[in-house]
Amino acid sequence: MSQVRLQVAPDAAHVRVVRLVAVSLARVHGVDEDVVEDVRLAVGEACGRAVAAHARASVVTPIRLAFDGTPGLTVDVADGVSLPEADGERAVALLAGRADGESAGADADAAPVVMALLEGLADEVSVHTGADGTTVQLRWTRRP
Amino acid sequence: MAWVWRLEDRSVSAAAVAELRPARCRSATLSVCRHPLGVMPAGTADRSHLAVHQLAHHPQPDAYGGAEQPYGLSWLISAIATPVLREGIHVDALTPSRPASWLNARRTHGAAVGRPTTEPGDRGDAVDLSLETRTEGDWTIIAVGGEIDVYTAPKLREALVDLVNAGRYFLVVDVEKVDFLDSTGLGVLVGGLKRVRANEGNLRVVCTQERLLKIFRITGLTKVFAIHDSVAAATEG
Repeated sequence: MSQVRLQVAPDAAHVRVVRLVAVSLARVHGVDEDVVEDVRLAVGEACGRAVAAHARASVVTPIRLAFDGTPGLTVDVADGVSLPEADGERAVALLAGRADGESAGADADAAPVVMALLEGLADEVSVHTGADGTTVQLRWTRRP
Repeated sequence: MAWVWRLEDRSVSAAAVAELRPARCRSATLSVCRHPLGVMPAGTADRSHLAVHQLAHHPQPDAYGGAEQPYGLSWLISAIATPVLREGIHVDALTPSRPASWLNARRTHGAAVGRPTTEPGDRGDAVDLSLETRTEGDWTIIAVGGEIDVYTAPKLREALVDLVNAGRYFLVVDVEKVDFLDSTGLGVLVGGLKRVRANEGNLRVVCTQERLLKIFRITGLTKVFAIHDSVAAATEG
């Protein structure tokens, strides 16, 4: 098992750097070449979502990413915006600001699109929210 | 030449507006907008995040409800709260012929408050997005190249808004030379479509790249956009 950890300031300009790292590691860990583009887009989306969440909440701590070659590739994208403890559908609803009658403002419309992309691009997606922030885990299996 | 500033954030005082008014200007209004996604500087919850759009005089009325039209919104200024805004931005350094001085002033400002902020157009060639606009009959074709992502999409949004404000309601966005498109870019295209439709216009997309078409499909936007194989096909009918 090999792991790469990356911390980036919550700045949209750094999302591209994250995408480049993700593509490089996808190739290192044997993700099928046809799927590398999916990795690029999905990790960029997850990171962009985290940047937007930090911006909305005025949180300045870094976005934390962990890349694991398991084999295939597992990417954890963690923001530092505190939310109630939740997993799965409930966590996704919290991200979209739909839970508890909370209003997430203009960005709420974007959340379903981002989730649709993540689910369409990764083999597995899991979302966990909590007091420490939200972690979106994306997983790609290694093709034979 | 009148520099026009627009004030949209009530937390900025009239005194700040007065101080920002360039000495050489006949009139000045201040425009401070909440930070759009992508240029949010570091900050804390009790400080307003402000962006100042630099606008210059233009004879045509515009969609902003005033008699001035933006001279491109390419100099988006990041500032944090009124005191910093007052201290950090040196408006008198500006001249219409030397917009670079504005960027220099902004960089100084960023360094002075120790809060690095970034924005499209502020890193020289770092913005990996190109836009070329041309007209074919009733249609305006915007050929986009490079990467449309959370960082560069504001530049495309600005271009589309400028075109609509200039009365161009029939747009073709050619993404054949786009290497990368994310949900932010899709959002900008949807926003452009809404704007032109509000004026009974249309926005069509030219795309044959499978990896981009896949993104349109996953998000269901193939039902929203007319996607064509070529500019010629897009501008027919």
